[in-house]
Amino acid sequence: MSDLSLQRLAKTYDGHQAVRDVNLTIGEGEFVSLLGPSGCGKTTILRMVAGLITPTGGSIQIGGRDVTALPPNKRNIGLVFQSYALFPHMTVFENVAFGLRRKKERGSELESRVNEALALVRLDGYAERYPRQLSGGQQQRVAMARAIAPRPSLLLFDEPLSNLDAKLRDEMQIELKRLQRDLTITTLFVTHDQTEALSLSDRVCVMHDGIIQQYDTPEEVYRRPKTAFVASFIGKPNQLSGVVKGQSVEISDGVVLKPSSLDAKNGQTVDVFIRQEAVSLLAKGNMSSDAVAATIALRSFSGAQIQYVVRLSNGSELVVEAPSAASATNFEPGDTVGLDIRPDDMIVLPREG
Amino acid sequence: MTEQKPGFIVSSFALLVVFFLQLPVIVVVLASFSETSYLTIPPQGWTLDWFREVLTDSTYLNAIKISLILAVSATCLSLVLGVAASYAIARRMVPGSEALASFLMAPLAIPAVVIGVAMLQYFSLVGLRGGFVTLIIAHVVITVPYIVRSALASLSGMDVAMEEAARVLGADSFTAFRLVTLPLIKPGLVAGALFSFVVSMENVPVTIFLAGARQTTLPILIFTSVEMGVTPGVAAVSTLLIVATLVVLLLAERWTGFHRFV
Amino acid sequence: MVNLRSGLLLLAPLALVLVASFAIPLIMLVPTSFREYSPGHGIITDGWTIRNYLNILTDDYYREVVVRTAWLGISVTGLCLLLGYPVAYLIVRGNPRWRLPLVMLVIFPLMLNLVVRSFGWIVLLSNRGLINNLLIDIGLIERPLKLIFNLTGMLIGLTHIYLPFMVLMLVASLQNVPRDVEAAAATLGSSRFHIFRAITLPLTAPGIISGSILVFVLTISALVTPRMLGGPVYQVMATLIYDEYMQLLDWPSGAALSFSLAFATVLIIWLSSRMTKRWAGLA
Repeated sequence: MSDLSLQRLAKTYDGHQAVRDVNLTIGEGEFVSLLGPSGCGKTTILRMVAGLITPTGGSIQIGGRDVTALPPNKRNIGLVFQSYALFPHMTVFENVAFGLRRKKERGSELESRVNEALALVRLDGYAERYPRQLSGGQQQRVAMARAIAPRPSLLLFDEPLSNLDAKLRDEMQIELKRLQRDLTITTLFVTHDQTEALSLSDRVCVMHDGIIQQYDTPEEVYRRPKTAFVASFIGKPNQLSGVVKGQSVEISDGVVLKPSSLDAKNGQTVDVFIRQEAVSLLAKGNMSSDAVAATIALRSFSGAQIQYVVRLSNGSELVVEAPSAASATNFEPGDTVGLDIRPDDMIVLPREG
Repeated sequence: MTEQKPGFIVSSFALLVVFFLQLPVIVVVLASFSETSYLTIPPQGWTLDWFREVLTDSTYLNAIKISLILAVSATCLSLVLGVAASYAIARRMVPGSEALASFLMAPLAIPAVVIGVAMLQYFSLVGLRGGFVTLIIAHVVITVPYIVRSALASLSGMDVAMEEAARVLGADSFTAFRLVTLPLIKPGLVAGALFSFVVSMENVPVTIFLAGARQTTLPILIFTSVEMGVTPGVAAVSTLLIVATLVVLLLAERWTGFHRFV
Repeated sequence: MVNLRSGLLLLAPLALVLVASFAIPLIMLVPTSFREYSPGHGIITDGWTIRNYLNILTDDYYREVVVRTAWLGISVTGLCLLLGYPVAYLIVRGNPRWRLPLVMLVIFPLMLNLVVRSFGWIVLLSNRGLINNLLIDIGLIERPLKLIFNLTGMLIGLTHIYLPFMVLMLVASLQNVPRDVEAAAATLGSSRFHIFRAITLPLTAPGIISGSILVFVLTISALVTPRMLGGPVYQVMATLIYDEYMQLLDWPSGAALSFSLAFATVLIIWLSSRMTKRWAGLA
């Protein structure tokens, strides 16, 4: 167990800066996700930490030891690959034993540690199978057992759940969380899936264009995004632009929003992000004075939720998600409704550039 | 709905063509057991004399021995050199991978007889013509493209993450190659080695310019003795080669699913 | 960088072998091809001449050999295509149970020693060979037909030798034709022959082209089969090079001829790879 620290870490490919002077510290036993769209540099960071690619600048420390110049086999890390990368010509036992054998473990000690790792991922009894005889979820567990068996000081995950179907992904997420709690190994988890990142991590590091946008707890990242990128990337927000007028934001043609806090000058152009679930639809009769009037344009039922596309008086459209419980009010296209937007859930950020 | 399938006429024609492909093989085997030195249908009398003649003739035995030693040494050397170079190219460890790959494959693009005369002139000049090592090197040049071709295909078809997984788990580059990469590319390498062996075993256009008097290989022996006229001994030794080829091909198919690599 | 250094170390041994015993020998043919040869004196080492190259274009005998080589290349390629396409079609579209045996029967002659295959055709085609004996026995002819040491023998032999390459190339490209496209054409009312002509054949064009290039290049480079089935008189470029070095000792002419042949094959391969690359870009 040890901490990870990146200092001014950078990687340039043929003039393209994939990672730009990234500083990041992960505490001992902490679970941190690198979250961002593909090409944001998150995988490049993970591969530099693993020693699979050489940084063009900066340094990497694991447990206070500078490993920047060390080859991967000298770093004592565990890595779970997106493709699992199980060795197809070896049994599950030999796959898990691979790292231990490199550490010169032999005999009964080797055997008990392999079995211990397999028990942790609940695959006892599968030791003699070959990877091709296992399901996707089981292969995923073998990959995890293989990574943790040598007791690495740092565990890395490269989009490990992206090859699983939705149901299995949810199961594996819970499994992962349990495993991490039991082992308390410092973990760096790379993903483009925000649900994964938010539910698993102690802290989430949102990246874009090779730069860290925000490094915070999942709640902070979700509730108080610091940049427009984070605000638009996390959740499924509607984005409106308007001008600050005193304590409110005027979108246009009399549509006025009143956020709870406003950190902008009078007359400044701002972006307002409103999450789909932060809006309640009110029937015509019980509309309050603050509610914004709108018309239902589309309705789409998806089980637990109903999504409505609503049109404001100025023509702009918002997506609103409402629970589909039988007791809830049901609207049809053409209905006039009031939008009740919780002031706390309006995120206002100054327009950049 | 009718599927696109070959009809009766197309199938029959195709089977006739496949028979045409086996025709010379069949007649060579028949001729090697025939009493007369020329072949008739039906053959007039059967004999094993030609095999006895070949297997007691030191010229044939020596040629077989030279050919085998040459083919085995050239293939082993090609394997080591070819796999190492292919690895550097496939893993982009050196710039200009594509141009380098073309260079390693270049001996396939130049007519063998041209390589033969070029080597004849060059090795005569530097005084190495007639040496057995020279002959082995020449065979490496003509066989290594087959190794490089299958090694490059196998290496690029393999998930690089496997090698990386081994490295992260504590294996140095060579251990990772030995324990993970090599077993995974082995079927392709076996196929490549088999091609290399066959190409060396049958080569005339390069060997004939370089081989010294005591280095007559089997194909050279058959090639030159046919110029003197057909002898049943040639048919007998050819039959031995046919049987050996058949056995090796079937074994290779069993072990590696050889036909996928052709 | 560590990676570059170990990469160079891995590459160097083979690169050195190929430079020292392939590239340099080839380059050293260049000066030889511009020397003059005088019978009885050998190679004249003072002064240069382009006559060796001019001869290839102007001398009647050389021109006959060059034209014959090219003609053989074209005919063998055409024959291989004609014979090979039905075989490839049967392999890919026929009964799946026949597939492996058929593929093995195509690979087997390919793996068999070239000299043995050519010898087989001598046994079949020579004056006292199987075919002539058979025809005389059943009274169809009185004197043996001349099937060997001429164009007929070479055509049969070379087609047989290179047919497997063509079949395997065509099998690969036929496998890439999506069945859905053919099915789509069928639902649109195409007859089976029309589907083949309008869909299958054009979609296998890349395989047809690359198979043809391969067979053509191999045919014009061939030495063993043309010599064994063509004899010492009926020459092609490769056998002429062989004789100029081994019998006539006219190395300068042989070198010029070698260069012309190698130039032709490399040019054809280069052009075709450029062409297929452009196609790959379109696909």
